[in-house]
Amino acid sequence: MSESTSIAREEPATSHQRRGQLWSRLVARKELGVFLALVVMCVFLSLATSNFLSSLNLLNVGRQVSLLGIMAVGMTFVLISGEIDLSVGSTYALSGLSSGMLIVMGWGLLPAVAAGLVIGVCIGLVNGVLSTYGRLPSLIATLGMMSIVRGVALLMTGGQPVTVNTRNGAIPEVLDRFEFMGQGYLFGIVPMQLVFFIVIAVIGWLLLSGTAFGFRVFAVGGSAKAARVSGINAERVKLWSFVIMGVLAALAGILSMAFLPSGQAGRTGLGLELDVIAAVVVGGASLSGGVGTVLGTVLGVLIIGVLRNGLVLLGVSPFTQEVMIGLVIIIAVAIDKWSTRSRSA
Amino acid sequence: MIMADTNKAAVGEKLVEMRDICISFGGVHAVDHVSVDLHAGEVVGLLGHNGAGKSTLIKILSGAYQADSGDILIRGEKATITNPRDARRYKIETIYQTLALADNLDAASNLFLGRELVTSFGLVDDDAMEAETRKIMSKLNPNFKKFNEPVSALSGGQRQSVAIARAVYFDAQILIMDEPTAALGPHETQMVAELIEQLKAQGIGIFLISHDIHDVMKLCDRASVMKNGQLVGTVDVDDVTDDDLLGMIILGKKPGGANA
Repeated sequence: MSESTSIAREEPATSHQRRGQLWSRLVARKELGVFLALVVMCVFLSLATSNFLSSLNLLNVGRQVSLLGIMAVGMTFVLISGEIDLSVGSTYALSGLSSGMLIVMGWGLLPAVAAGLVIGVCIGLVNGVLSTYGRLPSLIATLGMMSIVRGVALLMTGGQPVTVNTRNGAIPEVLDRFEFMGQGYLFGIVPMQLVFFIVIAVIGWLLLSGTAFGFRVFAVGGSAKAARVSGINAERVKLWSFVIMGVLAALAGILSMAFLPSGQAGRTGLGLELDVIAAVVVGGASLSGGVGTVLGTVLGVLIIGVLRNGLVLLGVSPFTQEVMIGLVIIIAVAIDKWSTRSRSA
Repeated sequence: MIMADTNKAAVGEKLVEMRDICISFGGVHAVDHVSVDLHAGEVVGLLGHNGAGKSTLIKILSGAYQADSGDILIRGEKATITNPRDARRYKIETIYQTLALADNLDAASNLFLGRELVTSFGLVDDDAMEAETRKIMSKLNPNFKKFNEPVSALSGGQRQSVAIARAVYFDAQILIMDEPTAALGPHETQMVAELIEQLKAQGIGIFLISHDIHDVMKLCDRASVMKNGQLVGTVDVDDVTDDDLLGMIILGKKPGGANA
């Protein structure tokens, strides 16, 4: 629009004013509570255990949360736009297994990975079209897709595990590079999965908080009607959010396949959608839309990751761990809800 | 008609003329051969009971509906308005009763919703949007301070002023206000009245939909009354009493001074 270019700028605020503003904005941020909780957990664990703070352990935590984190960045867009995606665990399985099978069939790395990502895009498109133009609640549409995609993965593999190695027909150089994606270390120390997570998180943060598209995701999730009468194509914004989610679920699935490097359609990524949603919600996003940040999501993912790691280091039994994690999810969201209510009252 | 600056309408220029508009839904004539007009710097009230057709008529102007027959003239020229984007091109902006604000966003974000300012890198320019918002709000509503809070934290009158700022910032010449004071207390109603005076002084023409006679008597220059889809008449507000208007709304009876 021509108006946007012809706007006269106001006098820039002094740096002092600006710093004050920045500080009050930081303090007012919702992520602060999540951040403090993470700090408290880390301090406690570094005192209670001897090896939590070791760089090896911290990088390990980073690697373990990476796949969850990549998917959580996508889920942040979907939740803020006022929708939900339950099919991500199945997408993770189908895309990972597909890329793996294609490499076993002798495909090159790029075509095999691209095919897996395209599957993710297609699933995202179907989810998005059903939930917007198809006017189905996304809870139902993606619940159906969760089952359909899982079923397709089972049909495709015949329920048999898929293992990527040279004996099965993978080209050795291709296998090496595929395994580097999942198992390798950048500069010999930073796990590749973590590198992917960091890159995705930075791109996601820029897209959500910096661009007009991100702006519209918030608008659509806050009030689809207000967005629509403002000339925003709410359907298209939601559709893109589902596509971003689909492609990130596919990427995480492919990286998982590259890490292990095997998978089974009946088990891979089963129940993962709930972990992803939990991490995003712990990070402050709202299931009713319009609220959330990528920074909060990253913190939420770290909380879940540090918690799991810490409970292992403390020698807590895996059964008790499940109970603890459930409690943390409920407590985190409860604190958030209660504090928002008192703020708006 | 020669005008040096098309953005500033001369007071008194005819901005809108809706001629002989008809629209029916199924067998119901929701709007039945209705003609209304609006001049620059003028507020025309559209009065009538629920279902009288006033909202339907105005939705034809804002592009939500299309008339079955009849013409819309904007500044004397025939206009084709098939959707809200067309209406916006003719500098027609609508302020909805529900205000159509995104509650989770702050005033600046709402002001620029769908028309975000971006820097040369393609990133949203928050600072520029906030500065622009401060500038326009200082004119419209100098007491407005809550720039960094979501609009859900604002009072009804403040929300109204954000919605109006939005329309004015994007250079509306023709403003449609749907029950602007419906949810407001007396003090805030007064604030909106002052806003409307300001907009009039800038040469903006306003259609004000209402079923509150007192509002119409206070805020409007003329009033067009509808009943059962038909125009009862258009009167100068100064020439009639509350009871005259009430008679038009309820009985469909034209008082002596009606000119249509």
